[in-house]
Amino acid sequence: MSDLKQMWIMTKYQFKNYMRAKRLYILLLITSLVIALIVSVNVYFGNPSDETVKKTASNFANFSEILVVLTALFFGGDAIAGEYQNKTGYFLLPNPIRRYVIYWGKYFASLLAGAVVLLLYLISGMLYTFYFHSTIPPEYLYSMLYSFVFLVSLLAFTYLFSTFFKNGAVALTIVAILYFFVFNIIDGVSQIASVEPWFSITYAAGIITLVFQGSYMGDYLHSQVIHAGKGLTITVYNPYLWEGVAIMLGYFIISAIIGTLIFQRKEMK
Amino acid sequence: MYMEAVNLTKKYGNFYALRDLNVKFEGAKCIGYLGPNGAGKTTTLKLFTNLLNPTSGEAIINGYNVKKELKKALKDVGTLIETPGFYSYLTPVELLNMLCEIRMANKCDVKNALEEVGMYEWKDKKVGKFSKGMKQRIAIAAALVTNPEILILDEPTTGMDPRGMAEIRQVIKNLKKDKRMILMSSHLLPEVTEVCDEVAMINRGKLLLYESIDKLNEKFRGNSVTVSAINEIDENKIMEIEGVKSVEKLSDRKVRIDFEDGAEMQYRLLSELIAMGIKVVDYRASGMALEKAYLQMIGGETNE
Repeated sequence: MSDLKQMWIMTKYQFKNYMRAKRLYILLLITSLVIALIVSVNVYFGNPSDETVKKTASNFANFSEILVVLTALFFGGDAIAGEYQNKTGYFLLPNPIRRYVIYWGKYFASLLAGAVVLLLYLISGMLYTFYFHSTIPPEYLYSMLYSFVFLVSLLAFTYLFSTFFKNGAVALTIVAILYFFVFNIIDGVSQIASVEPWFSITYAAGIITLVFQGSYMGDYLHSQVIHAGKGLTITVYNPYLWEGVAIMLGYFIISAIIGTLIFQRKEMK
Repeated sequence: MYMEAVNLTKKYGNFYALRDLNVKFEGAKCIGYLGPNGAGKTTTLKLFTNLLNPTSGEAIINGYNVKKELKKALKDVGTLIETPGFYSYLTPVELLNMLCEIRMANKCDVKNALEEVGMYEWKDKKVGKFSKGMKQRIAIAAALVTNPEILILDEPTTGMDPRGMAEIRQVIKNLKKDKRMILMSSHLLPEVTEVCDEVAMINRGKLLLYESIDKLNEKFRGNSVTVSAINEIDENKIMEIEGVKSVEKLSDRKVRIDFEDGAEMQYRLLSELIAMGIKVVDYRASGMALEKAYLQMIGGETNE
C-alpha cells in the first residue's frame, strides 16, 4: 500500500515539474497549432461536408501517430537519464523508496501529461468531425483507443532507452533517431525483403489509420505484392488490428520489465 | 542506532574502490570519515544509501540490509551525498515537502530545516536560480527535514564560503545535541576535530583506523609548542627548563619549543614560561593530533 502511495507522490511531483518547466504547455501549444492548421487547410482547400465521415475523421487520426512520438520524446526521453545527468538522483534515490516505485511514478506522470495532449487533439478531431457530419464514426473511437495503446507502449519503450543513458540529451536524440529514421528504415527494408516487420512498433502503430480503410473495420489487405520492375518486388504489409495491438502490448511488457530491472540495478557513480 | 559494514566490497573491473570493509558505527555521536581523494569514502556512503550495489558484503543500518530491506534500512536516515541536483522548477518548500511525503515521515518540519541552514527567506524561490552554496544548504535541509536519527553527510561544507562553512559546522554541532548518529566524510581535518567525536580513516578501500578523537589526541599528541609573547623572549633561559629539548627562535617575541612528550609537561612549560616573566599571549601545540595521525597513516598521497 505504501508503495502505491509513494508512486502517487512521485507522479504528482513529476507532473508538477512538467507544468513548471512549461513542457506540457509547449506541447499543448504545438498541438493547438497543428489542430488549427488541419482545420484551416481542410476547410480552405476542401469541403469536409462533402467528404465521407470516415475521411473527415481520418484527417485528424493521421497526425496522432506523430503526436504520440512527440509526446513520448517530450515526457519520456530524459525522464530517467535526467536523474543521473542533473544529479537529482542524489536527492531522490537515497530514500526509503523502491526504485520501481520511482520509475513507475514518473512513468504515470508522463502518461498523464501525454494523455492530456492526446486528448486535446483527439477531442478536437471529434468536434471537428461532429460539426460537419453530426456523427462520430466508430472507427474514430477505435483509432483513439489504438493511439492511447501506442502512447502507453511507446512511452514505456522511451523510458527503457532513458535508463540506458546518463545524459538526457543523448537519450532524447537516440530515441528521436530511432522513431523517425531507424524504425522507418526497418519497415522499408522489410518490404523489400518480403519479411513482415512484426517486430517494429511503428509498423504496429499503422492500425491507428488503417482502421479507417475499407467498408468495415479490418477490411484491408494484410499483404500486397507490388512488382517494381526488373524482377524487383515489394511486399507492402499491413498489420491486422489485433496484431498491431499485440505488438504494441508486447513492446510495453518487454520494455517495462527490462527498464524496471535496469533502473533497479543502475548506480549513481 | 548503528551502521555496520560487513566485508563490504565494491570493485570496478580490477580496481577495488572498497575492500572488505568491516566497521560498526554505533550510538549518538559524530564520526568523521577521512581519507584522501579516491580512498573509498564516498563509495562507502553510497553503498549505505543504495546509490551503489556492493560487489560483495553487506551494508546494514539498524539491523536491516540496505539492499534487501531498503525501506526499513533508510527509514530514519537523512542523507547528503555529493552536491545533489534539484528539480529546478520547484521551490525549497516544495522540494522538502516532496521529501517528507516520499519518506512518509511522521516528523516533518520544513520551516525549521530551512531556518537551520539560513534559507527560510528563499523558501518560495525556484531552486534553479540558486548558487552552489545555497543548493548545498538546501541539501543539508533535505537531510534534516524529517529529523532522522542517523545522518550521512558527504563533505557537507563543500562549495561554501568560510562563513557558510562555520554556520554548517555549528548546525552539525547542534544536531549532535539531539542524540543522533552523524557519519560525516570530510577532507578538512580541523573540521573533523572541531565537530566529531570519533574518526575513521580509510585509504585504497581499506579501513586504517577507527578511534575516538580523545584517544587520537593521546596517541598522537604534539610535543612542540609555538609561543608568542608581548615582550622579548630569551631562548637560553627556556633551554634551562627541565624537559625542554630545543628552542627555535622564530622572531624576538616568538619561539617554537620542543619538549619531552606528555600533557603534564606541556602544562608545566607554560607555567614556567610565565613564572620567568615571559608575557605569553599565544601558546599552541604545533600541529594537530589528527593531522599527525593522518600523515602517519596515509602520508601525503592521493589516489587520483
